[in-house]
Amino acid sequence: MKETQKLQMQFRLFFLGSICLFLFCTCKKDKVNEFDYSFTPYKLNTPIGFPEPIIPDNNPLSNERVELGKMLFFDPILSRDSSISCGTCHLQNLAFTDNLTISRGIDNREGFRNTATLTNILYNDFFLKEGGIPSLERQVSAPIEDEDEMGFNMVELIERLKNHPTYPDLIWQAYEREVDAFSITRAIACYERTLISGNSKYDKFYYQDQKDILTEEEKLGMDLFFSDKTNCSTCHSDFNFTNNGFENNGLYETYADPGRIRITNKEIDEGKFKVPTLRNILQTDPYMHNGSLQTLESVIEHYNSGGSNHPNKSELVRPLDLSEEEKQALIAFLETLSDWEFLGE
Amino acid sequence: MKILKSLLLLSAIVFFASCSKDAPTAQLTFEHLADGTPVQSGNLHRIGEDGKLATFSSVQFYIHNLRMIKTGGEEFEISGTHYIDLDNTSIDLGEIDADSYTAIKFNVGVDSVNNHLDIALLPESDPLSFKKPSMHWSWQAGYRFVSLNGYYDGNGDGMVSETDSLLQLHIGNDAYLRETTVSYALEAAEEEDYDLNIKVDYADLFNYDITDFPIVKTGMINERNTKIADAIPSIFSR
Repeated sequence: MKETQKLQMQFRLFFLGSICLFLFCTCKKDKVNEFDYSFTPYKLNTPIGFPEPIIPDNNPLSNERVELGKMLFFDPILSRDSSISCGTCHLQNLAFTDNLTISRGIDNREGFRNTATLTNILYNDFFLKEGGIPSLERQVSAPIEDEDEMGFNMVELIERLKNHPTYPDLIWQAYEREVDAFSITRAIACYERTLISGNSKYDKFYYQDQKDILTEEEKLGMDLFFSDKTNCSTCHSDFNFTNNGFENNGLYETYADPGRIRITNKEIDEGKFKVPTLRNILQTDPYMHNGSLQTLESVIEHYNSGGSNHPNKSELVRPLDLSEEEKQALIAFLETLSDWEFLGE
Repeated sequence: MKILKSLLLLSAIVFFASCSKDAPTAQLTFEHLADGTPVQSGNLHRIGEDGKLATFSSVQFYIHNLRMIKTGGEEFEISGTHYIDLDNTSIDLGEIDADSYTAIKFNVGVDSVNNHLDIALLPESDPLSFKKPSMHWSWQAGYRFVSLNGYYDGNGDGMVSETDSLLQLHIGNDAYLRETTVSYALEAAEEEDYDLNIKVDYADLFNYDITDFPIVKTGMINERNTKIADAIPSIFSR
């Protein structure tokens, strides 16, 4: 390139740069939204005896966010063919489960596992049964993008919501942002954090001092549940009836679904699954990660038998030698964990 | 006044930068192939140990730790994680050292820190943001390093269409991050712009029977998945 041409090019660049900067400084994007950003703090109703939940710094709850999250949760717009919503598999009267052995997605596709309850999910440390997801916000995209659940794609979902008549305004109002993955995942997580259950018959007895509320059979079941004879409460412990850990409960000698090893790649984790809460257990049948046990009776029978031999089976799962009366008492106690208000009745 | 000052400052930067721009520049472009044939709509490829005919609807991968290796062994580093698919085939390497190079080296996949960050926190423009088709495994909060989607001739009629059997190979997992080195002789001179080209032939990844395993996801470590991951370095060539 000749020297004069080079100089000409440099002056052109100089001129162009100046114009661009001028335009950039003088133009101000005027955002027109139906609603202004609004943050009305949402007060979680933490039940008596429950710890204050930990809320992520980047997603404090507001009425606007919870309402938006609830709308999205029950809106089939989240699935590829707009046929199913989160609420399709997570029904309130079933403690946000669906009573199916294995969940069903779009086109009636068979999912991978039994639908998990959302009861008190704000207290969970890990999500999905192998625990590979470390936050509720991050869990949200899993069913949306799973081929056998909503079968959709986050990029396409954002585009769809951007063209929706109300969601862009509601998202702006709740998060002061355009429709994006952040606002979608945060809003749904906000709603899910409100699904708190702590007013069962057991809660009234234990935390609310209504000492006459349990029957003798339920009390016998409670004593057994918390005893060294059954060790149920070692894993199903604390206010939420879970230690938030991962256990192999001896369901099989060989697991078709290998569980937590999918995340850790450690042999010791084969056949281990997240210990679920037992709150509202009566409503969440069928049981186990794959819905293979249809009734509470069959669950009690499984633990009474000591389960199958597996090298990773918990030492606490061993023959219990329970009488029929004791089995029935345990079931009666588990039924006291139903929170009818939470279940919408 | 403030605006005027900024304007003058930026203009000065543009002016002086344009005066001193004498380093060579380069782009790295990937050519998508399968069994030697370009991956594009309608093209058939023979893949798998059972030699099935297949088409690809999407091919996607991530690379990071991109380096150009100089003759003396010194490395010229290009920062960042880069996303490649059928539409995004090139990486702008920007200015490179005027020097003699022997190879291009990079890791295929996403480094173990970025691999598990919250994808929803990233702006759309970030290479690691949500992609279509998805490059993210929500269930393990990690990325697919290489993702191939298409169809194969399941009924053996010699044709492949979208009504044929689904073909998927999704490679991810921290343990399956692989480094590759492509020999690439280059004498980079000042003031020059270079188009660097690397071929990617995905057929070598299908080192198993397609009929037995039409859908493969390497989320877990096992012998078959490790064999697939170990083939990654060899799919890149000049």
